[in-house]
Amino acid sequence: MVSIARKNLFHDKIRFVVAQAGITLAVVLITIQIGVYLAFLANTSVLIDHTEADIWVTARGLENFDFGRPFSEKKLYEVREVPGVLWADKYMLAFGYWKTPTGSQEMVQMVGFNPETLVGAPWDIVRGNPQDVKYFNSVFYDQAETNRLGDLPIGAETEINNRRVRVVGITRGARSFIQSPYIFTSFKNVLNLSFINKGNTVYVLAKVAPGYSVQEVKQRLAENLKDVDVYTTDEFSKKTRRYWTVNTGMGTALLAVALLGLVIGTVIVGNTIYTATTEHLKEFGTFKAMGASNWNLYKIIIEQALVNSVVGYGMGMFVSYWVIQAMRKGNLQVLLPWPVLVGVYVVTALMCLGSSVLSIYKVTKIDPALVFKS
Amino acid sequence: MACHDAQTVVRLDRVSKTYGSGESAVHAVQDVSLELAPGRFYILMGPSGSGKTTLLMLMGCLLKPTSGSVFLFNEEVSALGEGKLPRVRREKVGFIFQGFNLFPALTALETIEATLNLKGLRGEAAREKARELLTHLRLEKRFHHLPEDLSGGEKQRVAVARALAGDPPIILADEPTGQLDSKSGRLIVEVLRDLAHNEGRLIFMVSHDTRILGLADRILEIDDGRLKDQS
Repeated sequence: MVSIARKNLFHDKIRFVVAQAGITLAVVLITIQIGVYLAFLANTSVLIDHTEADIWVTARGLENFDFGRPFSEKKLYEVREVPGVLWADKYMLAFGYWKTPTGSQEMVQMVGFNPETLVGAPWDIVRGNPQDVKYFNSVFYDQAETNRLGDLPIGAETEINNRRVRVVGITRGARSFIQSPYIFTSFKNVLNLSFINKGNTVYVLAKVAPGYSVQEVKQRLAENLKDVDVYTTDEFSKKTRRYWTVNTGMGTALLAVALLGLVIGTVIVGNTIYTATTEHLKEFGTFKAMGASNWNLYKIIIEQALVNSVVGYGMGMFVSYWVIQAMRKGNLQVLLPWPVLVGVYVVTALMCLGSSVLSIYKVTKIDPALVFKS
Repeated sequence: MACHDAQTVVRLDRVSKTYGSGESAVHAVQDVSLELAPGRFYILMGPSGSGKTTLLMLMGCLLKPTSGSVFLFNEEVSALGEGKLPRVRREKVGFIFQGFNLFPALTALETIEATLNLKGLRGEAAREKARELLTHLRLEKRFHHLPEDLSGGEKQRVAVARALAGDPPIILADEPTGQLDSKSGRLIVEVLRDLAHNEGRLIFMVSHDTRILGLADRILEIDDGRLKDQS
């Protein structure tokens, strides 16, 4: 069967290239921005999402994970007494300054966990044993941060807040998005290295015992504990994500660029398909005169849009791949699970189909008399 | 309402077509009654703006009359809804235009094949039929040429082949020689006449060209929307 759509599309090569450039640009912008957005989202709550705790107890009025404030560690014992709590542990977070091999200072976030229970410990270890943070001022850092912290091997020494620390391990996948790398160590070491007073903690993490619902235990904790907030892990993760995406406008800005890509693509594709249609109105009219229904003509325009979308998506993904590789070399993260890639194609197809609406309207309105004008 | 003559393919019964209304109304066709038989070659003459093309469009189900009735093979097509007219045109009518109206991106063979696809013939059968039609019109060496690579006469022969795709019994031609030199124009008219005489089709052609009148079986003349003289 002759495909008038494809013949039309490939006949005018310049127009086809212009349309493809528009779609490719749109696909690249949408893909990269969504990828950066997802990586951003994942990083904002990466530590919350990787703990095995069901419940987080935080200082009252806390807006997000990264700005955790200390409160009395006596709360830990109160938590443990509430029915339905299987276990509970302290969890520390504090800012500090890391001395790089060049002598400069980098701000870091120290994450303190209990090395005996390993609650809140790093989950993907490249080298070292997380229990080794029990030793005085021993730390883990993430391999993605070597550009900023220095490529320090196990056993290397440096300083945090002018106090000597020793590298005992290297992690993977624990990047902070707020530009302050995570340094994992013990709860006790964080107290040594930071300015947080002894007898305080920043978080209390709790696990719900089998047979109890998380909401039920959370409710009990909220009723029994004073001057703190209680969240389920999912709630705290969402709260943190919402803070960084909505409250700061960072997520909105990323999505706005993706939306801009969509608009640019729609305008360029719409313009090229519309021009291609208006230039062939007589031929479309001829088909109509010969008995083609409006639907026969719509199919031609829709096929043009879909072929455009498939080719443009392919080219867009090809370009995106190389852009992402370059971004990763520059230490920027992009997260693109396959459902997102499918979703980007659906958006591309909808964009191309949406761009055809004017053309379809134009074809519907073709005056039969047009075909008789020379 | 049945046709008066069983041999009548097209019948117009007091057909009028008015564009606009009130003082700006244009009466393009006025009270035209006409019966056209198969196997005959008709030529409709008339000055510009006399209503020739409107009459052609009424017969081709591209326009509905303001009053009166149009019958094709005893079926009152002027009473059919818009949704049913494409089927009538697909099955019964082929069009030839002065400006060829060929898709620039389609070769001669693809043009005919696409038309056959539209009319329900697919695959190799459509391709074979397209080859047959183009060969019949002596275009066997132009199968894979785009319109831009064809002469005016060749383009019009492709358009004739396209009109014949699907084997319609009625061919309506709107000044098909208008953009051709006299030799090519005469060739096209001879082809059309042969289609009437040898294949039994009704050929209805609008033309300004007085040199080809001798080839017609019947000449009709229209002026100010009225059929003036029928010879």
